[in-house]
Amino acid sequence: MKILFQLFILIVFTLLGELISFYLPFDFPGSLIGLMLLFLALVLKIIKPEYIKEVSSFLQKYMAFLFVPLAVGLMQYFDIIALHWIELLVVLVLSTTVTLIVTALLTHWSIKDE
Amino acid sequence: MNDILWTVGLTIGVYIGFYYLQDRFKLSLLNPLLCTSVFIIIFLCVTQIDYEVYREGTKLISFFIGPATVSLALPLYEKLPILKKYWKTILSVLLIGVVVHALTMAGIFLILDTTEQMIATLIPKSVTTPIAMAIAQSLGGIEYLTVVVVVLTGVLGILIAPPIFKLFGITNPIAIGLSLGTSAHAVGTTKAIEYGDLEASVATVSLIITGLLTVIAAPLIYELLTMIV
Repeated sequence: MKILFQLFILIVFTLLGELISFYLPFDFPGSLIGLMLLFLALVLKIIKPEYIKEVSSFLQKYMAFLFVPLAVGLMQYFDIIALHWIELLVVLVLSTTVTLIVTALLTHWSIKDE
Repeated sequence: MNDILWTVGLTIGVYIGFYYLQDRFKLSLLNPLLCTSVFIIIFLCVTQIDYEVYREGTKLISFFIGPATVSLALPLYEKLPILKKYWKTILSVLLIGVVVHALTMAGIFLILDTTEQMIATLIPKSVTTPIAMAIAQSLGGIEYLTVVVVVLTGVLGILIAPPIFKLFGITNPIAIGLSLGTSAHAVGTTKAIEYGDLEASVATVSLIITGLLTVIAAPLIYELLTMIV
């Protein structure tokens, strides 16, 4: 029953997040609201880490796998990609690389300096 | 025929295959998420099977993204003392990250001579899909294209991150988690999880805060960019 119970807790918080997200005046993903609620519940000791530990580490271990269907969904947009591919390629490669390098180096330096 | 069986079976089987291939050859280009997706896209194109059939079949897999994201509260909670210790660094780098991202885009748009619609489409590219779609919609961008760019940003992020970390000698877990979460959202966070717990929790914090900052800053960035272009 332990695994089912853990899954249940995670689903309840996901559902709560989705509900709140539905009623919010602006768009913010329900899963991130659920994440913050669960974090709050952990800090306030309403939920103990043991309540979610095994299922959480299982889901996180295979999280990249969960994104496969979403990534396959790109195939629906081949025509729109073909239309804008130069802009997309330049923006994607440059801005992602620059942001990654800048944030990684800044954190690296500032923590090393302490 | 039951579509759930073959779609889920195929996805798991191919993923396992690429997982062991990458494990064996240690090439970041053999990333299992990227390779499995490309493999299945080719498979669906060759067999002329509609994406809808695949999407319906694999709903079970996508469903778990929600609970998996929520479960990231646990590493966040467990690493709270370290996060508290470095909160100033983390917060300031995240702010700089959002600004740098906007500036890079401004530079590119200046050179490429693009439309306002494209700017609105591309501004939210480094945040998680639901936030990005909402921002693109409110600014008047092409939502579908935003989804494409967000997913591609994530995939590109996890592809280039390992060689970049090696090149610049970045081994600090906070630097790794933060840069992955800021530049490649949830997909980047999956990579951070592979590095370790601290990386995962920093990436989670970065994902949330970058999302919030972008929601607030996007209209302003859009105004500025459309003024420049």
